[in-house]
Amino acid sequence: MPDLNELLTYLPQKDPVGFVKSVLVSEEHLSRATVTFESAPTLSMLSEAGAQTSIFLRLTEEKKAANVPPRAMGMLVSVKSKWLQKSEKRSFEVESRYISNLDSFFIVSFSVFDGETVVAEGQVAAVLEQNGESL
Amino acid sequence: MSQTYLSKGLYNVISQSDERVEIELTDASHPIFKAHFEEMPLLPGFLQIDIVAEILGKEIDAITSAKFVQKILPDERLTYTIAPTKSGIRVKLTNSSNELCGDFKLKWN
Repeated sequence: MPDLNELLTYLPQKDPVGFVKSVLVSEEHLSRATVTFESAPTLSMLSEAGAQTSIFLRLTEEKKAANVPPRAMGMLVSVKSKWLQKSEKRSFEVESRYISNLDSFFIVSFSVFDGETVVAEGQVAAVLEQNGESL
Repeated sequence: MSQTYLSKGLYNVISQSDERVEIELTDASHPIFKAHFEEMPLLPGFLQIDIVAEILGKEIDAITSAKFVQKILPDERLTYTIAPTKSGIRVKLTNSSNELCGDFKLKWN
């Protein structure tokens, strides 16, 4: 199993769009990461951070059953999210949880933490692709 | 909402009103397109939403639903069509071929 820092190389988004700075947890159905922005983020930016954190869900059985390579890239299909408590901070922890999938179409939820407080939450759906083609 | 550090120089506004905003994206040399993605430059979904909010000076409280229908490439000319709904606003994003690229239901102030 790769170490958590090595997992960051899996993130296809690079600076300034790669918001994940460190991976804290990478489990089958739960991942958690530190995300950082150059200024206070918008809700859309936090939603993208939620999607990026989901890259570190392992989903071994789900990917195997859907014939998805481990490093397939996720293309965002839909988002819904809301602020629970607006924050001007620039660094947060984001937790992502697997909800369901149908073949290469995955749905995950996310929560954005400022310390112990959840400041935003939502769901993202993405299709995993390889070389720009749906699997 | 003012332009963020991510959208600076990313687009030019062609025209704008409360109901309709037209923009033209910059070319693939912009840092956003180099970062997303290195070998396949695309406008990130989150910026599709943030661009119209910042042009109209709005802050988004909730994304009730955002659907990203079609990939958006550099140099593309885009039109946002904005309409009020009972619970917020609906924004449709189309490209220069009038194809739907995004459909967003938002709450903003």
